[in-house]
Amino acid sequence: MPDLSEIGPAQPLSTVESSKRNLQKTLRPRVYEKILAYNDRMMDGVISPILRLKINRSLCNMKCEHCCEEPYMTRDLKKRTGKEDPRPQMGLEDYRRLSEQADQYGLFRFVLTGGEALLDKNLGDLVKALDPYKHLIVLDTNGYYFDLEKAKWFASIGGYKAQISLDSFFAEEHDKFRNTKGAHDRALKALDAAKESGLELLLSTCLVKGRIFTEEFKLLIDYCESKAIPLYVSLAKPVGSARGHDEWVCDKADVDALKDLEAKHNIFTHMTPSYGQPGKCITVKGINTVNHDGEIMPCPYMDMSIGNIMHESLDIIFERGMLNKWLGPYRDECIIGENWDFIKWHNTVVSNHLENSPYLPVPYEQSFALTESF
Amino acid sequence: MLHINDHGWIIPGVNHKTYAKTNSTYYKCGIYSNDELINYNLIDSCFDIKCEPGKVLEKFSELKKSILGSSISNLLLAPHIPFILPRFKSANIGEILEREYFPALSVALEKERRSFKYVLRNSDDTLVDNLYPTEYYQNLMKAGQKTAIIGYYFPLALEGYAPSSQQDAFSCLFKDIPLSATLSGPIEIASVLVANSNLLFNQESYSHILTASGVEHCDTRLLLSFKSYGSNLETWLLSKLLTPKNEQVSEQWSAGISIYSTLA
Repeated sequence: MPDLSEIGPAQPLSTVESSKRNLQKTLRPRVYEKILAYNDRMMDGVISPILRLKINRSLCNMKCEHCCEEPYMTRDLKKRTGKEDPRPQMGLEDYRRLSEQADQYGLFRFVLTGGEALLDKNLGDLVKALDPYKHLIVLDTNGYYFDLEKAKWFASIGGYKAQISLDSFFAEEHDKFRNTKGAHDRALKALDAAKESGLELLLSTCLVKGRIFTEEFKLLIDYCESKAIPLYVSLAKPVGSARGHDEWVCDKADVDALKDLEAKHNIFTHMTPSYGQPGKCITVKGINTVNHDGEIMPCPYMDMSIGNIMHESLDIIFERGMLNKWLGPYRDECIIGENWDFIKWHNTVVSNHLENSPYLPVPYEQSFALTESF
Repeated sequence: MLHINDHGWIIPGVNHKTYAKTNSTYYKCGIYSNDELINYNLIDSCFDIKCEPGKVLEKFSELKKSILGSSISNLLLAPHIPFILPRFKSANIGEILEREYFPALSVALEKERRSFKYVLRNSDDTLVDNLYPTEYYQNLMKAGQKTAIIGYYFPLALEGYAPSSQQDAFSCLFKDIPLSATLSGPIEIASVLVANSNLLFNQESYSHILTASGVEHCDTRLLLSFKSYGSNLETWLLSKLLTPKNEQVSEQWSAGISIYSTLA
């Protein structure tokens, strides 16, 4: 029988997480302070989620088959309504206020996303407004325009990390999926550029059912290992352009296989244990998306709101979200990626809403408010 | 007076906070055996209990009869797994776990090509001296220091209950029941998992998170729990709080009940 020293307590924090924390102590002391308080605050029931900001009306240079963002984009709205979204859009001053509020709440992470966030001509001003020394600023990009010059520029304005997406290791497959010739080649070059410019980086990929067992996925893992690039995997969700593609939804065998790969490779999902917390569904407590008009969605892949930051404070919106029975309580599975009860309800609410209004997300009063709360 | 439904789940009282008014059908147990002899032999091979199997089976039979003859017999409609605890070598719950049960759990899981991972707050942290029995668990600890214990673990009896409601519902239900019982703690949960290492692994569904609510951690915000993650079995110290003013009420969390008898 092994003694305790052989099985010992596992590190709640990985070595990589620990060394990244130490770096922040020097570079961003306020961020370090908030990270240190994170775990204790979680034990007190205080959440510290990432805020994912959808900017620039989600303008994008690609048109991906699985995109969950298409219904928010001006090009799609123009097709459906003949005009862009008329709702008031968040401006720099709104983002500055959000950053201050987030800092007071103890949050320390913003992800800038679109569409393609790099297409926003005001990106530099936005990063400044968010204050990159009080928050870690992460950029989601398809890599098409993220060359060395752009990567160095992003690092110089205080950017922390680039998350570059690649949906197949096979160039032809990725380009087809993205409807963009050369997308694969540019994404690989973007990864090199991010590394050379000293940014943290990860390769983000979308997992459809069965892909985890393919040779292509194995090649992608090998590539990431050879380049020492962390591989972030998100589960395909049947929302946005992928609504109706139920065959893409992973089952438990896919997810279990993915979790087992985490032990062998630098692979993770949004539900991987991190910051000393077990893996769980991240609704409200892990990531919230802030739409262009201030609506807050409790997950990047849900088209329903829990409140609007232009009208209410973060703490009220978070508490509302945490007290909702679907969103707050602990559960292991990703509800929008695995729980068919939730997926069907979500998609029915969204479809019904779209019959009456072209604009997403569905407001709180017409979505989560109709479900049970504590 | 509380009642137990046809699924062996304790129907909450008006003051109890639960995820739903009925038990969950979403989370499912993996594979386990409720055969007393099979469980006895598996535990005996790890701990050398030094008891006559015949006597052990007789004790199990008596205990089951007592449960069947009581007002809580519906508990037997839910999963109920026999457990055997060798006489405790220590009164320290954390020490018993870390010196005896966790190593045994690690070996049992390895045989199934799984691994055991236990996560505390810091890498140099320990459960030794940091876990304390609640009132009813104290009785089990006292009994276990004198002799081996046999019993049944009902892992889903209090599924979806908030931590304080687990305690309250248990006390209400067992107030006038002449059986030795407690909210389940980590020792018998670990024992059950040693003999049934696939209990929390279901290929098609997610399984429950088993809370060891019979004990308190020295940091009273935390609750020791057992869960699966991929092929791993993990323990975590989870926060009891959903928000600063509200307790966690998770459909997936389940506090069990252990009903036991000594082998003396």
